[in-house]
Amino acid sequence: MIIEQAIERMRRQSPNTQRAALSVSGMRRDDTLTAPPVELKFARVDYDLDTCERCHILVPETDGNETATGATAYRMLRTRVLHLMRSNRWSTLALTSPGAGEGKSVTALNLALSLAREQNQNVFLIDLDMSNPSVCAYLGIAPPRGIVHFFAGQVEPQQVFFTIGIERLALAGGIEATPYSSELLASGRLELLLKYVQSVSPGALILLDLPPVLATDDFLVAAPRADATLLVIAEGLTRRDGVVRAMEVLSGFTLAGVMLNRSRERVTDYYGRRYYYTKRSTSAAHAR
Amino acid sequence: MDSDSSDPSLASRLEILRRRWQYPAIITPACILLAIFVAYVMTPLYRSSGTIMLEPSSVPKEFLGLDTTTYADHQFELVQRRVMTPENLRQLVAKIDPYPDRPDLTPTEKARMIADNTEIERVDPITLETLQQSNAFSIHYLNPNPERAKAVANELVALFLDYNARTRRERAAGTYHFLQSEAQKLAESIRGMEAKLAEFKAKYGDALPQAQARNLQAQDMAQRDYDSTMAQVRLAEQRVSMLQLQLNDLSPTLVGAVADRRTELATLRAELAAAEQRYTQDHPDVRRLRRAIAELAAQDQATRAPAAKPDNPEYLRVSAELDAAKRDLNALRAHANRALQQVQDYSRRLASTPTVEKEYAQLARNYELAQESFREVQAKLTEADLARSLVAEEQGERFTLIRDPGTPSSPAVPNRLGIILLGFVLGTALGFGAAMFAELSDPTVRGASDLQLLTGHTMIAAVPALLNSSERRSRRLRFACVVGAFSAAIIAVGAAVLSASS
Repeated sequence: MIIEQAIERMRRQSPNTQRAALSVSGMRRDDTLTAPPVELKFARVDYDLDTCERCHILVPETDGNETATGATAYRMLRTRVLHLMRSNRWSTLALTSPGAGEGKSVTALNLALSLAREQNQNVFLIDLDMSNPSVCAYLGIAPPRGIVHFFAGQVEPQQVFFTIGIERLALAGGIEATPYSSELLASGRLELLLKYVQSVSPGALILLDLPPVLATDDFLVAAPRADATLLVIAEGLTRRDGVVRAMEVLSGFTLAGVMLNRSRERVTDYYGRRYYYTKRSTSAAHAR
Repeated sequence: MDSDSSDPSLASRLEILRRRWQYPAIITPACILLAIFVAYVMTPLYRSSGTIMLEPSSVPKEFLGLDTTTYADHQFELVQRRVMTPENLRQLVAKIDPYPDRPDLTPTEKARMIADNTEIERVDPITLETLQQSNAFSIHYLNPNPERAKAVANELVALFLDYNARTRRERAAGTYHFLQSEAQKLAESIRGMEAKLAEFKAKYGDALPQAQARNLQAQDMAQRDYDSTMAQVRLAEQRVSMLQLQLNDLSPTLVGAVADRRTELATLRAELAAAEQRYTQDHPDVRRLRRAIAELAAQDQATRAPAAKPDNPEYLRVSAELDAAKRDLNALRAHANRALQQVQDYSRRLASTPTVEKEYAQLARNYELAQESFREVQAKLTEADLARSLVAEEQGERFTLIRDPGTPSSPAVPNRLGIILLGFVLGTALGFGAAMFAELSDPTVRGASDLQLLTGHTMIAAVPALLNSSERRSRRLRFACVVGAFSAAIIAVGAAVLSASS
């Protein structure tokens, strides 16, 4: 714990040390990493803490057991995702799951929050599940411009993003559902959006919250725009045959990996430590 | 630190248990509590047991004969059936009512209940453990009331002991009487055989094989006697014929004419014969001679016919001698006949000896057999008499009470420990079985290994189910509810146990 705190302090003080450590661990040096991330200047919307707590969103203010246990796991996820994206020079990662309600949006949001805590890059989270938008709902906010409006060509890319008071994190999403999500995704506006992000913040990580694989064709429309896909499986919820079918659908795309949500597994992190999720975590210091 | 179990199946089982611990955690204690409840709420039955041993006789077995040592091995069942008769048990019910709280039952039904609640088993006389082959047995009786259990068990034990004493006496006496009548019958039959044998001997005594040598000798002697007698007979016959000739030549009377005439007659006959050769039949000489012979013969006839009284002394002497010789001859002939008869008699006896011998041997054998069995029966009779007196003096084998039916302190049924143990085992099995079933029937993804199997990718990270404060609260509440329910159940069961055991 003390060591972790020290590492964190070190990272904050000197990004170069962190980069050196990364290069030691076999990562390719990326030019974008050398430049500090640009400051994001979007409209700011403050999230609702109670809603976040209720919806298991690990915003910095949520403290206690949930944050602690979850933060450890998300830190792990973050580290691995970062590793994969950097080593493969991916900038866009799509998140999806076989069915609905398997924690895909929560995972995307928490992963984005966790990634944003790293000081090396900006993180953009775009909620593309327009038939069932939930990112904003989980944060308890109404965005100034819904993403549907952007896809409908009513607003410009810079208008659709907003920040929530967390450094290096920008979001895009909506609260109104539309039955034409597939058509909207296919309109070509998505490329525009992604290009805008690249132009505004080179080297930023873009997370796309995509609809479930098996529910609609939205995923098939949007996935080619992403460099890789992360499949979220919920233990005790996702059916085994659903996983198999989702894997078939995903076979044409780059699969970044599979992650287990609602896991009852115990996992070993890079340092050989074993985490038991039933235990009270000790790393509450990371919450902030 | 990284101490992954080497056994993957054990590891996966532990994994399942880790996921499904709620099933055994709830089902197992519930089953145990239920078992405890059942164990204490069931009507307790008390078992009172008495043990009876077949005490071996103080007298060596050889003196007792066969039928006094058979209880332990063969008659156990028989005794049980004879003692546990509905009649006996009805009497018992009349004496002690074992189920006073069941006035709806008739004495016969109660008797049947006693029989149902009684168990008899062979036991080791020292350890009292159940044994297949033993000379002791225990009588167990179950009753809801320990005092009544003891009373009834005592009565049952008494029935067994009483039955034993009575039947042993009866059996000993019965054996003796049977043997006695048997001996009498045998004696009678032997007497009959003796009479038969004597009769046979009297009838065929001279033809018996023992008499054969004697018979042969006698036959020989008789034969010789006969032979010599026959020689004498022949001599006597010669003498008689000689005397007869002599007598013929003599004239009974002293008158000489007779002799002359005879001489003349003979001469004439000779002349006639000569003349007949020389002459024909009608020759006067022949005729003359024939006439003269006829005359002379007629004269001789005339003189001899009256023959009034022979007076010739010579003639008289010869005649007397002849008579004597004839008498001798007759006597000898009779003797020879007798001798011949004797010979025949003996040879007949000798011929019949084999037949008689066979018949006799059979008779003798029967007699010997009868005698032998009589001797045996007599010996047994002596033994039976001894056994009878042993039983009368309580020296033979007998039932001995080696454990008095006592008042049971704790109920035998239900076997509380057993039921609780059963509940434990069953509950454990059920709990883990349910966990296993839930695991197997779950169609959802479980665990990293499952995920890898399905996707072919290693899981990059696992995130636990996150709980917000209200979820934590409700979870705590659920846990508290379960704990509370268990506590309540424990208290309820404890109360039931206390009330049942008091």
